[in-house]
Amino acid sequence: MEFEEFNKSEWPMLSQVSRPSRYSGSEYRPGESLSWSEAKLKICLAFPDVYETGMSYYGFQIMASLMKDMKYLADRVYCVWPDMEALMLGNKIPLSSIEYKKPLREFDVIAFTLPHETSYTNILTMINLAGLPIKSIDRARNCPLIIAGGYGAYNPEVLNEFIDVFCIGDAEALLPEVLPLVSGIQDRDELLGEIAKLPGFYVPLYFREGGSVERQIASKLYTMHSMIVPSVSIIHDRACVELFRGCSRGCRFCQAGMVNRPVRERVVKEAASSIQDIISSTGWEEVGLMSLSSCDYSGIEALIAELSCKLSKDVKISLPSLRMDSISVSLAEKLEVLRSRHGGITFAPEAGTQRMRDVINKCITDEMISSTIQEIFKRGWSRVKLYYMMGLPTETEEDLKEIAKMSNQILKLGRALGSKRASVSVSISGFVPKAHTPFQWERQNSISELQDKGRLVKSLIHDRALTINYHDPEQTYLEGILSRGDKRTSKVIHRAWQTGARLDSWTEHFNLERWLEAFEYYGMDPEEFTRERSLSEILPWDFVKVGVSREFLLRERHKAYSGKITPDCRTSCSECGVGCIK
Amino acid sequence: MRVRLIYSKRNAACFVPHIALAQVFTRTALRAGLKLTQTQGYSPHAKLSFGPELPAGVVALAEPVDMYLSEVSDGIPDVMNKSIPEGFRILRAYIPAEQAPSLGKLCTHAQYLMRSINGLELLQHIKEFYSASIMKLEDYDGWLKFIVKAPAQNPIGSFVKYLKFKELIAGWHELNIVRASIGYFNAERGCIEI
Repeated sequence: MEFEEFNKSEWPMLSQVSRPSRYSGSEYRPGESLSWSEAKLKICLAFPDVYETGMSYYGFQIMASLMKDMKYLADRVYCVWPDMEALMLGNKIPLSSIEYKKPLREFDVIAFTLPHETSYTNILTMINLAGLPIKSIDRARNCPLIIAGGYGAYNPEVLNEFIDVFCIGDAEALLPEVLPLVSGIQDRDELLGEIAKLPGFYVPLYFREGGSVERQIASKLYTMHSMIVPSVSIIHDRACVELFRGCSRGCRFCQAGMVNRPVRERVVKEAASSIQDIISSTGWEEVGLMSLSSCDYSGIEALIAELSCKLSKDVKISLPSLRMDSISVSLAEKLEVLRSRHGGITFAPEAGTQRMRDVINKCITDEMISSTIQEIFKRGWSRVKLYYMMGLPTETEEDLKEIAKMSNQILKLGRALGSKRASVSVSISGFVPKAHTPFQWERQNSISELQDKGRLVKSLIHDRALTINYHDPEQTYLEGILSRGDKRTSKVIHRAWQTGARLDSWTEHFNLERWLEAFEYYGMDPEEFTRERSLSEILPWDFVKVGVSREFLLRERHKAYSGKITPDCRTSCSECGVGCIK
Repeated sequence: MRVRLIYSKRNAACFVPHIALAQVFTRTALRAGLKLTQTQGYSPHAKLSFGPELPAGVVALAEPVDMYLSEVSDGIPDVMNKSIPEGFRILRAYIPAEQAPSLGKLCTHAQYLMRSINGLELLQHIKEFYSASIMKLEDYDGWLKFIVKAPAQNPIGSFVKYLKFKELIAGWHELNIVRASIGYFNAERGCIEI
C-alpha cells in the first residue's frame, strides 16, 4: 500500500519545518488552471517575504488574475523561513512555486514585487535557492528573466546588480507591454535590449548614461472577479477591492501619495459588482475597501448603501484606517453595525502639534481631532489606536511631548465620557525620508536620536490604559539606508546576505551588526545614505521620472519649512506636474 | 439540519492545521452556495463540529465533520468538491439520526497505518506506549495497522513525542502516518464505522 505524498521530495522537509502550511500550497484557486505543457509563457510572481505576508498583498492577486486573462501561466512563490532554507540547501532541493510546484528555473519570468526595503535580502535568498546566479550579469542565456516592480523600483539602483528588468509604474500598464516580448524573443541579450527600448522599463545592463525612465500610468484599474483563498489564516484574511489608486492629500512624507498620482477612481457600480463577485466566489466573510485613504472615495456612501442591500448581513465591510472627521466616524458606525463596539478604531494623526502637522501637510486640526475622539467615545467605542511619527523635519522636543500629552488627553476624554474601559494604544515609527517626496533631501535621525525620542515620549506616559511602543530605531536606520541608497548599496546587500542577513523586517532575525560590517568591508559609511542631500547633487533616483516635478517637490519642501499647508488636490490643483486624467 | 461530511486530507492539505479547518469548510460551503446556520452570540460564525484533532503531517482517508445547514439539497459532495482547496476531498455526505451523539462523543476509536523510514521496529514501542488502549495491531502490506481507543485522549502526536524523547527517531519526518478511519468500533463487523 503506497501513498504518493510520502514519496515526494518535499514531504520530509515539510514534516520538519515550522509552519509547513506556508509551503504546501493548499489553496482554493478560481477558474481553470492552464496546463504546464501548453502554456506559451510561464511567469512566477515572487514575494520577498513569507506566505502569510505575501498572500495578504492585493497586488499579487491582481497580477495573477491579469496574467490569466492574458492566457499566460501565472504561479507564485514566497520567501522561506531559515529552517526551510537550511533543509533545502542541505538536501539540494530547489525553490519551487506554490501552485504547479515547479522549480523556479523552469519559468520564463520570475517577477518580484518590492514592497519594502527590509525585504531585499530575501530576494537574494530566493534567487539563490532557485539555483540561479545572484547577479544579473552572471546569468546564462537559459535563465529565467528576473523582473521587479513596486515601491522599491522607484529607487532601482539599490538592487541594480540582481534584477534584470525594473518595471516602473502600474502593472496594468507594464505587463501587457513586456510579456509578449518575452514570449517572442528567445535570445536573452536581444530580449533585454528590446525591453530597454520600451518606456517604463529600466534594464541596468542596457542603460544609456544620461537616459531616463518614465513611470507608466494605467488609466483604468484592473477589476477582479475572484481571488485565491488560502487554507490557513494570513495577516489580512479577507477579500478586498481597490476603490481608487493614488491619493489627493499630498502628505509630504508619503511616497505612495507622490508616486501613485493622479487619483484614479473606480465607479461605484463596478466596485460593488466586483465585491459581490469576489465574496460569492471566495466565501470570504469580510471585504476590505482598500486605497491610500478610503474615506476620500467620492462614492463611499453610495457604495456602502449598495453593499448593505446586496451583500449578506454576515459579510463584514472594513476600512483600513479612518480620517479624523465626523463623516468618517459615521461611516465607521455604519460598517460596525454588525460588530460589537469593543473592537478598536485606528487613526493616524502622525504628529502631536498643529505646527508639525502643517509641516508634513497632514491637514487635520486640533479641533478635528478632539471632536472626532469625542464622537467615537460617545458612540460607544472604547479602544483607540493612534499612529505617530518621530524624527520629522523641523521637529522639536515640544512636538514629541505633545504626542504624550495628546494621548493622555484622549484617554481622559474617554473616561470622562463614561467609558471606564477606555484604552489608547500609541505606535510611533521613525521617519524615513523617501525618494520622490518633498523630504527626499532630508537628513534621517540617527539610531540614538530616535531612541532618545522614543524614550522621551514613553517617559511621559504613566497610565496602564495607555500603551506605547515605537518601531526599533535600528530597523528604521536600515530602512533609511536602503531607501536612499545607490549602486554601491547593491554590493553591501550582497555582502550582508552572504554573512547571514535574512528576513530583516522580522525582529527575531534582524541584526544590524551584519549590515555595519558589510559597509565596513567596502570601506563605506552608512551615514552617507541617511545624511542631508544638497539640492545641487544628482540623486540616485533622479533618472526615474515618476511624474511629480522637481519644482513641485522643492515648492512643497519650502512650504513645509514655513509651515504652510497645500490643500487637497480636489480643492485646488497644486500643479505637481503629473497632469490629471480627465 | 445537521449534515455529516466524510472527507480525505491528502498531499498539500495534510499540513493545514486543525485550527484552520473550520474556515476551510465554511468558505468551501459558501462558495458552493450552501446555506450555513450561524451561531448566536458574541461573534457569530458558521456552526461546524469536528472529531478529535488530527496533527499536521498525517494523511487522513476518512475524517468526519458535522455542518449545520438551513436547507439541504442532494449532491453536496459534488458541489463542494468543485471549489474545495487543493488536497481536500469530500467523499460522502449524509444526515445522521437526530439523537445521534456529537462527533466528539461518537469518535471512540481511530485506525492508523504507520511505518518508520529509519529502520526502527515500531511494533514493540506501539504496544508499550498504548498498552490497553490498542486493538487489532497487525502487519499490513509493509505498514503496521492498529486501532487506538479514545483517540482524543491518546493522540498520535504523543506517541511521536515519546519516540523522540527516547531518541529512537529525530522527528516526524522519520515516520509515515495515515489515519485510515475514525468513529466507533462495530464489534460485530470488527471495523470502525461512523
